[in-house]
Amino acid sequence: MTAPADERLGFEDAYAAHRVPLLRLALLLTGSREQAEDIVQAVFTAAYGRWDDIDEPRAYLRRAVVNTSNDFHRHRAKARRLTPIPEPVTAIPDVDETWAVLIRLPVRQRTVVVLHFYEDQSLADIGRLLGRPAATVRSDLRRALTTLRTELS
Amino acid sequence: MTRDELTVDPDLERRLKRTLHAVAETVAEPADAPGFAPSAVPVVSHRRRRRVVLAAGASFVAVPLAAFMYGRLGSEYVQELPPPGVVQSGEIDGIRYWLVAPLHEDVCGERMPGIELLSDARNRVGGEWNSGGMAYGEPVGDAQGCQTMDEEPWLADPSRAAVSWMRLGGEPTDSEESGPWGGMIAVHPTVRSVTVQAEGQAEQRVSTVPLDDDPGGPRYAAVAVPEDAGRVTVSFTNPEGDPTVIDATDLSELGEPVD
Repeated sequence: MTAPADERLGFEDAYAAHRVPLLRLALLLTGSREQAEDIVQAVFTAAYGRWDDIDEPRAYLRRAVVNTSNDFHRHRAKARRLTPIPEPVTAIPDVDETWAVLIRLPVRQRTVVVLHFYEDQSLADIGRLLGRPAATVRSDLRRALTTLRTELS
Repeated sequence: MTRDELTVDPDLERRLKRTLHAVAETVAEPADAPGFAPSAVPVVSHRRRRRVVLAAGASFVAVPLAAFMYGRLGSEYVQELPPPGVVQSGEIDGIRYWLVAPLHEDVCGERMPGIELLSDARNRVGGEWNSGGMAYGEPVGDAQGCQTMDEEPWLADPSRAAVSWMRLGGEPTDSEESGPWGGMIAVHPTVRSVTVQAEGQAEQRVSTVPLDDDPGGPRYAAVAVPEDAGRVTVSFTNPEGDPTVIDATDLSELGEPVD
């Protein structure tokens, strides 16, 4: 099922339409299916009961997933489990190789890569979403691409 | 592509997109996905932070918002940043902060008086609001926690003002607050700017602004100083041209905030 762009859906319909896309986004951001499930459920739970007060539900849910994923990383860092364990995910060698490098990027850089290349967001939009200047986002992306180029060459 | 976008090697871009989509699509579309079941959902604990604004002056009221907060004017959760009702904003050390019309109600269902200050470091979309607040005037709270302010004594004396300091940094879920200091300043309607002088720092002159719903009323300002700022003096020039010190506080002596 594909999530409609900005159509105003009831909560149940939005859950059905957006859950999988959000799970995919959370997986890319955290590298963990289990955490992706928890994050998306937590985001919908937070939205449940006040759904009608949320102005742009789809945008809200995406922002909440990104920010909650970042919280997840902060908690992991505090627990001194700094490096996510990459899962061999597709059995396609170059994809798995690229994913293994992506998942080792610093969280800020990986988040920008995911939002830019998977979500097709501009750097300005990413900056607004993350609450960081576009120049900082651009710098994060440049560093990420340098690492990726080096590691994958 | 705007000039802010980066030029990316096409081969690398294709590889990244292919990888991200391939990994994402390993999350399958269930043929008959169950609907949302609130009772079965693992609820993430949103530990409510009780922000206590540190008092820094005798003629001062600091409102520990969440401590006696029963309601919110809008959503209990952050839906967007910048937040609604911004009257002034700034940035220090990469942290954005906003002075806003109150986001909270007191236990009586009335809008909290004064203004609130919050930063992007301690607020995230989807999380609970984490802000500090203060107001102009003499507090007239009651045992139930209703928060009204008597502004008349202060309006009769333009030298009356208040300053409150809080940390802007840290993380939304951290118990420790850290980073640069943010100051909220409340002054008489005739005071159009204040001067802030921190030790070893350039003097800052900050314009004051009224709230939209009280354009002729008290005016407010937000200011930020570095984490290691020592003594900070806030002053304004009265209509006679004389400097009037509102507050002088050694931030290093304020210590850690308490819950």
